[in-house]
Amino acid sequence: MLSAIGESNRTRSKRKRIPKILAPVNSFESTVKVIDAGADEIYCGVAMTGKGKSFGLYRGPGASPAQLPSYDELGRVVQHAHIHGVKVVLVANEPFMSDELEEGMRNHIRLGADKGVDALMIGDMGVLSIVRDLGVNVPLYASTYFVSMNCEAIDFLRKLGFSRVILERHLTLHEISEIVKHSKVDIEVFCHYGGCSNINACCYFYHLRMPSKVKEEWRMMASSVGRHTAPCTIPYDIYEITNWGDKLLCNAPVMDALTYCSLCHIQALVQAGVVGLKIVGRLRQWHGYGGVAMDVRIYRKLLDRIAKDSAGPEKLRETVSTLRKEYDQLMIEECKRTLRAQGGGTVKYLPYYDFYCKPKRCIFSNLFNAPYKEQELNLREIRL
Amino acid sequence: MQTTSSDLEMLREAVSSNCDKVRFGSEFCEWKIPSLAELEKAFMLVKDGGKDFTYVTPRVSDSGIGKLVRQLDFLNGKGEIGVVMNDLGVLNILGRYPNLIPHLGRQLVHVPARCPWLKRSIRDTLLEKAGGIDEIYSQTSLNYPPTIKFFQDQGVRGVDLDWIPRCFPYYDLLAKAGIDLSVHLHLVPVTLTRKCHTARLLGEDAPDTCSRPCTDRAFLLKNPRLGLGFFLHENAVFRLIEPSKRDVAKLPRNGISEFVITMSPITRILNRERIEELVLQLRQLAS
Repeated sequence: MLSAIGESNRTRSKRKRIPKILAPVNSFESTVKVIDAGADEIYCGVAMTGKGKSFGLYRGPGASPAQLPSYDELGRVVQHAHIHGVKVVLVANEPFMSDELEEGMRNHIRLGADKGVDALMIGDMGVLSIVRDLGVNVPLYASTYFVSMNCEAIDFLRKLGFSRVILERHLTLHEISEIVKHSKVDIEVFCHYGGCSNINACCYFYHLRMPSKVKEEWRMMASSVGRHTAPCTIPYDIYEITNWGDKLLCNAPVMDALTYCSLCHIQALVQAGVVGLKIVGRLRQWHGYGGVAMDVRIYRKLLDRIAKDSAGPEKLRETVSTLRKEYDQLMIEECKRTLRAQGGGTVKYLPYYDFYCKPKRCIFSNLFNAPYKEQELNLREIRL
Repeated sequence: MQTTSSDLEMLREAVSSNCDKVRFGSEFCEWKIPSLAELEKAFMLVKDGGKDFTYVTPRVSDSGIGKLVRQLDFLNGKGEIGVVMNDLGVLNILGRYPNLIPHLGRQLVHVPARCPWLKRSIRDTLLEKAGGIDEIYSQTSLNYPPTIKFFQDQGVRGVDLDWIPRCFPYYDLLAKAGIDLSVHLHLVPVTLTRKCHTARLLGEDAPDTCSRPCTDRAFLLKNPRLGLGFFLHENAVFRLIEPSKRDVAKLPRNGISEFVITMSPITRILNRERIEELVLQLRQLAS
């Protein structure tokens, strides 16, 4: 009986906990912005030195505008974050390690620890062995590159020393809730942007490593359908293999299942007891216009509202609707400010509702809720 | 020579063919994990056919783990059996079954050369000039000694790899580390999803009610500007690489334990005749 009461109290306290907002940064300036907007934790990479400088399968510690330019900058970021009570997570989550990259990774981890980062994000057993070998005493977070989708995987990672696990993006709210209930480590989920069509760790499209000629061609294609330029979002002609040569569909973005937003599901995630809500976009910071800070701001406001009172579904819907409008106003102001600083020019902006909600780009929607089915994308049917 | 099939009809064809071993199960789709009754039937079929049985498992959620636990209980009672696992959670539970031998699936091995535009990408980003970086793109994540040691410490004895000729020299190094190598012919997985592209394309509503239209349907995806095609089957997208005489010659002589032939609408290997045809073709290429 006693243990049953204890369990129930623990579950309740888990449910009351308001998750931390994790925001991506790639410079000191972006750090200041997202902390000002209400981030609880920030995560960042640093361009690696040595041979790894040219290597980066995804956005791990290779050379990329997604990274902080130097370890000195990391030091400044850490200092500023700590003054404001914000934790800094250093990413070391390339899902791959080799003899050639080892020295660079050792330096990366050692320098990160020296600069005072609060946690390391790891996505490969080889990198984990380096951390252990160095004896670095920093909490370890298991990256989404471990593709954690069940309690057994989380238990496996816990036994290896991870104190937080970032779940695979393709889980349903129910699956997340069950994992949180049964896991002995903190659970973090993606909440905004980066709801990839495919499982990250198993995706070899490497859209950031595409040859420039191909990128250019895709940009041209994308402009015709108003989409991103990635192999999973561009349209394909689809042929049925059992009838070689029979075209089933023309120009269909068959792999595009990208999702971006979870504003409407935040209450459920709070109730599930997740510890962290991650906003994606280290590379988005590079594009300017303060998009990530705006994302942080609306999620902060929503979480503060949820923490303050237990609003019913109707009231929450109203809140989300108001926040979307607020977001649009802030973004338009931010765009104008950026344009003024640039001395003119133009920028296109799609209102929040049209970009995220109308095409049903909800991160926690049904797994088979195909966004392209919901849009008029000229899916011309030739033969079934 | 080992043949993989995910349904009982195809399994019968594989068992009656001249392949040496038979794999059964779902490599990519959690919702295509067979029922316990199907697994029991498959196991008996293979054993009655006088062939070794290997069970293949995909990445799974907790509901998939629940299904697999009952199946692993059954298999553990049947003596030493290889289990191909693609999920760390499955690796975790395999530790409880002394008779089941963990075999690392393709989803737990990172191989950058699976990227369809790797060569162009390397050339374009001047990585070759960075000295030695080009070589990294021929390796697997297991070529880093601490990584392979980690998995060996977990009881892993074998690993699944792809037919990617530029990686063959690094496969040799893995074999020298004492790992059994199983090389999949033809289909190289490029990407994988839980938001199944096939199901969405064919209008399926939800995983639980999916009618599994992928059992006999697969699709070629082409974009005229891209200059190459992909193959969509189940919840994965593949490249197709046909084995050539030159590539067969490049294979490490003593390193490969077995070749894996996947029965799939993409390769049109769906019956005994096609399996035997392919086996013959490979033997001719090797001679």
